[in-house]
Amino acid sequence: MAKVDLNIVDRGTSGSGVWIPENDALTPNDLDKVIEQKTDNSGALNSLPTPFARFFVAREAFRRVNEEKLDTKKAAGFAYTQLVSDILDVYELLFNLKYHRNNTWKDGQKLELREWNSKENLDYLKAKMPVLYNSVVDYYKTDIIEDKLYFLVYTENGKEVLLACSSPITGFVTPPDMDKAILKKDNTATICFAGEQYQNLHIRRKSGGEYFRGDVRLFDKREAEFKNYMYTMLFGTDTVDQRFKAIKEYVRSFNNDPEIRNDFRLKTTPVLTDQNDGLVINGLHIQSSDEIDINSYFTDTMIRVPYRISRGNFKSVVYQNDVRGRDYDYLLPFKPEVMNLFDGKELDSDVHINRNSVTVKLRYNGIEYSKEYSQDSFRAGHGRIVDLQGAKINFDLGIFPNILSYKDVENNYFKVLVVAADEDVDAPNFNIDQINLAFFKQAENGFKQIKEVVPEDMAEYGVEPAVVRSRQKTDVEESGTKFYELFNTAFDMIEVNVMGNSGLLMPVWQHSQASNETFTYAIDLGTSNTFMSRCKNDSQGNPDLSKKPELFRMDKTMVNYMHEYSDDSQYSITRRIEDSIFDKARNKIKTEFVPAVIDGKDYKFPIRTALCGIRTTTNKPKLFDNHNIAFFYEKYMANDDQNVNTDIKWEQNEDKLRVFVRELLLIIKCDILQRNGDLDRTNLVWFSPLSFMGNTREVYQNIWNTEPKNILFIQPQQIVRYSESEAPYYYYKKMDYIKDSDAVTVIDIGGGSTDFVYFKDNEPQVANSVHFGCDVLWENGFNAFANVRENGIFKKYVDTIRFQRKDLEDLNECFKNVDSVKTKDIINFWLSNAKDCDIIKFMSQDFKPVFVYHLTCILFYMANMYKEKGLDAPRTVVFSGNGSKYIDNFISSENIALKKIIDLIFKTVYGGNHDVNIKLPEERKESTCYGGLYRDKNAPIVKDIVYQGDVAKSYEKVGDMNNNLDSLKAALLTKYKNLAALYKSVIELLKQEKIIDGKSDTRRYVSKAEEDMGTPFTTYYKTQVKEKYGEEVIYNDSVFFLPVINKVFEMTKI
Amino acid sequence: MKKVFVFCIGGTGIRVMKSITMLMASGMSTNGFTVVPVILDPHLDLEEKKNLHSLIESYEEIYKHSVNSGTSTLNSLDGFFNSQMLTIGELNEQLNDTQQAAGNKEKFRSYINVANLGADNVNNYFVQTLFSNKNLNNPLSVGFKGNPNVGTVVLGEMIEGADWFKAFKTQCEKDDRVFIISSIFGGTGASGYPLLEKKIKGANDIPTVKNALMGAVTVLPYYGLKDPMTTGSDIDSANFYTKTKAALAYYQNTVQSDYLYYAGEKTLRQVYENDEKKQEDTANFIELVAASALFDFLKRERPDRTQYLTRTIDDDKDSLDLVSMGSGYKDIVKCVADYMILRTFIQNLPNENYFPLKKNRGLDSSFYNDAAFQSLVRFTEKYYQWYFELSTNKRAFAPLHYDNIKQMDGWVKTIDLEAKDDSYYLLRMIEASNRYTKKDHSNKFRFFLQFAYEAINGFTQKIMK
Repeated sequence: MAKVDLNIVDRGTSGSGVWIPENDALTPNDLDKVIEQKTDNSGALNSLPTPFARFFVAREAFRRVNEEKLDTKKAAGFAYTQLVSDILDVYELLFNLKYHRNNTWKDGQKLELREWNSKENLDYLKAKMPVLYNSVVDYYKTDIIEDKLYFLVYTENGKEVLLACSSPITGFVTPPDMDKAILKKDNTATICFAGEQYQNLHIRRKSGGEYFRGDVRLFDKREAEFKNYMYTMLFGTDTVDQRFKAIKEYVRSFNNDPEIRNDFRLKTTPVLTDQNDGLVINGLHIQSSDEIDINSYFTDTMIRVPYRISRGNFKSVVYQNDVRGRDYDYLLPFKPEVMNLFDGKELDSDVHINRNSVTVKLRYNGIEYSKEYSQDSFRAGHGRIVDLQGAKINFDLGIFPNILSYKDVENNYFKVLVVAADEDVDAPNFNIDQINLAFFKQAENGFKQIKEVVPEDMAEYGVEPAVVRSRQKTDVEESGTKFYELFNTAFDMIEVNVMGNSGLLMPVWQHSQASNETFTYAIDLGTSNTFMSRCKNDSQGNPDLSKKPELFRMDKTMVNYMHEYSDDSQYSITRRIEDSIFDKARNKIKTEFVPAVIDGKDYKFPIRTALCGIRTTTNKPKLFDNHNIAFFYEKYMANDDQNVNTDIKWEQNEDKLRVFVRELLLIIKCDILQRNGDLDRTNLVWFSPLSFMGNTREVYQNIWNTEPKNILFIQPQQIVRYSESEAPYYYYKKMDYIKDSDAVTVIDIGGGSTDFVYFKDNEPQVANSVHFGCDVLWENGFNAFANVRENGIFKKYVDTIRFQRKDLEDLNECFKNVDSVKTKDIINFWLSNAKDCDIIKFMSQDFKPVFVYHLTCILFYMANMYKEKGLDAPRTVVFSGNGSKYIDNFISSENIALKKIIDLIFKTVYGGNHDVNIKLPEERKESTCYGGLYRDKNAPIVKDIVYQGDVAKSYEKVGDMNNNLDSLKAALLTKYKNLAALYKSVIELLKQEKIIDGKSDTRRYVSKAEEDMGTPFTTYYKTQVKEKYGEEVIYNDSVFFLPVINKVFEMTKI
Repeated sequence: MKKVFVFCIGGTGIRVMKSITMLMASGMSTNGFTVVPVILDPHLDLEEKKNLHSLIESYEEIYKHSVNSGTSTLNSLDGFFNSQMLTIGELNEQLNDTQQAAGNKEKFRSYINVANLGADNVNNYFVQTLFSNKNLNNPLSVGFKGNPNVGTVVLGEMIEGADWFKAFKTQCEKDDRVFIISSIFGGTGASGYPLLEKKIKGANDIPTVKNALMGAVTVLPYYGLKDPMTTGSDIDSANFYTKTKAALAYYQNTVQSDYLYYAGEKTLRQVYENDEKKQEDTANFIELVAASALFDFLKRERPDRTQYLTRTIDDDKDSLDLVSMGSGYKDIVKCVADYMILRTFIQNLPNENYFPLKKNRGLDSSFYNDAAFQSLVRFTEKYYQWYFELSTNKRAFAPLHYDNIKQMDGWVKTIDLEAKDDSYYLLRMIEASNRYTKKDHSNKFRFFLQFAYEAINGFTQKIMK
């Protein structure tokens, strides 16, 4: 016989069927013996005799699910498991609240925790819902107890839905309408929410999928951080209220879960209610992860660029299985905060290339996290590859300078170029505005974004707002450019955002090392050309005179571009870098940015003194934002919206001049750091012509005082200015070109000016400078219109000159077609590329009398000046300056011919016979810089003199000349007459010397020289002096050349 | 007049009350208590509920016939129909009882005035947390569909404002008792019991109510329902045990009764149609056991602390007889046996032409056609049906063989009765009549019941030994 209790459990009741009383009710222990059936129907979760049944049902759900975990035969059923899953979802959602707010809820979605104060709201219910109130008022006291409940209200598209209510028993309960039912139809089971209001509820789960939807996800199937938070932080203590027993036992039953770690620590932050209080439920402090959520650091998309990223210049993805011939690359698909995980160390990440996707792996804290990215249809939890090639978009970045000083303070300027193009035939749909950069630097407390600031912010450091230099227009050959400038800070990371998709790049910086090396740089900013040289200093900080100064040439690049370039030594590094960038960017990096390297080949000094700038900008000139040195000048054409200014030396536009100098100094800074030089112990030498008028010298002085201080951190005493005229002498002397130093003159013929210095016994006696360089040969006299093209030399060849190289041919066409390009610029272009055309031969044949006239004028002027200043005729004449090369090129490369010309001129001026030593050194332009370096700082300062062609009176100021113009003119007319005669003699001499073909007709030139000079003098004196300058202006130039300039122009037209 | 207010909550309460009525009819003693059944169920049209009302009316009618002397009220009989039963309406001299005050066709949403909340009021979320949309949209007329959380609210309101509850509080006198019958796994019963208990124990201003000795039987799961997936019902018996466990755990700290009786099965032995509106569930042994709790309760004194009572069966069989049930069930078996034997009298005596009491006591055709006897006939038909259901259900309460009137000595299984056939009983009935010489009344119906009981009891006393 099997005696049984008529009860749900056997309690061993005595008696033989009579009612047996006991003192104890059925206990939980008794109830544990009850075998339950699984429950699949949420609608049947119809709970307990209390309005707060839901709270107890939730508890029961945890108990049942835990029971099933312990004994799989005791299936809890779908209804309970989904309820547990949903409640765990609530915990998880709050745990990841920060993540969602920062990452996934970008379209106005929000979650609020609305406080429900029992006293206040029960009173309200009493008034509005008395029936409900009557029921709940008593039960609340026994079932809930808490003073407050909190409702989790999720808002999307302006519509609110209740996700959960706080519970003192399970933490949270979901509303019954969120329960799911399995509907079977046609043998297909589908899950749907009980309440219609949830049918459109889609909250993406951080780890993929959606909260409250899809498969039931019990505790063990959740992310490790969340599990550890629940296991350790929330339910891991003895202080958890007994009412949480069911959920606590369930959570704590996962003690053998391999992802539960006793040493796990999480950084959390309290979840806040709408009253800004921390969410505390029956003593349970609900937290949100403040820990770095590794998965949240993966970006949703991964930018694929259609070229390989230079690993020497940028850190990007590391491939586990790189493939040969890979012609693409990826930006790191992480958010910038990822770097904070690694405490300044290397990012531990790599990429595995799959057949149709890539898997990005990130290892942190001993755990590997991964995310798969594919181009195809987006799958939950997967990322999408944004293939720029597929989108016909390309971009590149360039960072200048690419080197960091070991002294942080010296890392005060960085310019980042963004060049981007829409390569679609219907371009541009994408434009430069749709690519943005953000910069980050590593600070003591992690990687911090360097904020964008405007000057008004008076920030200590920052990023200036990006400036778009050019935009891609409908012309498919173009691209857009944009510049970022970081001031007083370096950076360690760039976040690149392309049309809303972002990725990271870490620049690989060169680093300077501390050393005692110091350098002196000399910069000769000439009218046509600028030269720069470098000299290592001795231990005293002075140029080491034992060594010849070096041509300025760099061994390393100073710009880091994103794209990889080949190591094919058959081509220069410049070629390799520039040719490797995508087609539409190539011209932009050449014309709107600094060269990647001054390699001494493709880019070398001297350079044309030319500044490229936006043609129509009204903004103040700023380096790279709208202007930059036109290193490309005479090699490439800038885009139509850019203009090249070749007159900056004399234009007196301080801003443009400053930009020019700034770029030179930045290059110097880069060079110093590359050579581990001590930046702030650098010395600078710069040169000025004597013929600077007005405040021009002050302008230069100001620039040369302030810019080096800002860029090289040097003081004014480390900067010296020498006269352009005297400097070459010291070089030539050093080079022993000057054998007889008794009376030496150096004639420095530049593009804009010609300078004279007279030395006697190695000491400079006088110096003079006139605004009469070789450019007058290529210009149009005093024609007021900049675009006039009447120069005879120009007109002679403009339609016939041809270049062997197509690019030069094209460039010539461009020059011809661009209205703003002046005749001197075009002719200088021809001369710069003379080896590819026959210009020197032609000009030598066709215009030799003009060049002879030009030279004769210079020498005649000089001889008269020296004589009238009481100086003996020079015994040695040394030429310097690029401009003087016309002597070799177009008159004669034979020194003897030149010597005879000079002897003749000296004889004419001084009388008697002369036997001068002539020196036309090879280093014509370089001599100024080199001389500046060799010049003894203690050498006496040369005395500047001004010579107007008449020493009868003193003509210091313009007013002096105005007042004595007639006598001055009379004196000059005499001189011009003598000049014309002398010119005729020189022509004859050169014919005799067969320098000029004896059969050639030179009479027209002589006649032209003999023509009236009075009228031109009067005319040009008025326009160029009297009307230009005030009476008190000290006139450092010489009016002697006013009609001469016009005469040269006239002669070109013969 | 000592009274016991028997609150019958929900479907199970109705069915247990049915068994109580049957047991009372068959002679189970209420220990002098007048039974005042109060039926709490919001189902307006539930057949079972109507049937119970009808059954109780029949019982009352029969009882009244048995105590009516024509000029005064006689003492209750021993044996059949020995206890008075009064409805709360009758007690309070009012006609309406719980039925009118309970369910109506109003939706729960409207009933609790959800519309009174402003659209943005946070209490909307409070309501959404407690009740599903389906809860809110259900009309009360169909009960709580296994949702005690709804039931708690509705019944709470029903109780608080109901005339019957006021009447109860008025009529509950010293020494009166309260007994609550409910199931723990459904909607109405599960919600009603703790609620009612709370209301009664919370009647601080009425000591007779607050201090009334209180018993309750909590009927634990004992039957199943067909898969709700296939029927569309909201009730899933699969979670009866789960809900019971949850409810018992919830009760653990809330029970205020003096005696709490448990009655249930460890497995669901019978599966009924899953139709909430009909609930035409056949009588079950557990209901009988639950009904027996009332009679046990009425015999007990006030305990020092709450007592939890369970009873056993000696042998876990699908079909129970006296032996397998155990000696504790003798009284029930005897009562049922008595009434089933009475049924043979009721069936056969009207056709017995030579029965002496026809002449002696006027048990003639006019008596058999009289309203009183006809009531008994109708009641007996229900009784038979009730026992038939009990004896054929799972598990079966089948201690009797009752199909062969010529072999009545074997009618009580496991016991040989001396009465071989009905003639033994009829003779004893005549003897009883002859022994009764008092002239205190001329109530033929009372004579019939009195003498029949004495006759039957004479043989069935053996069951109790």
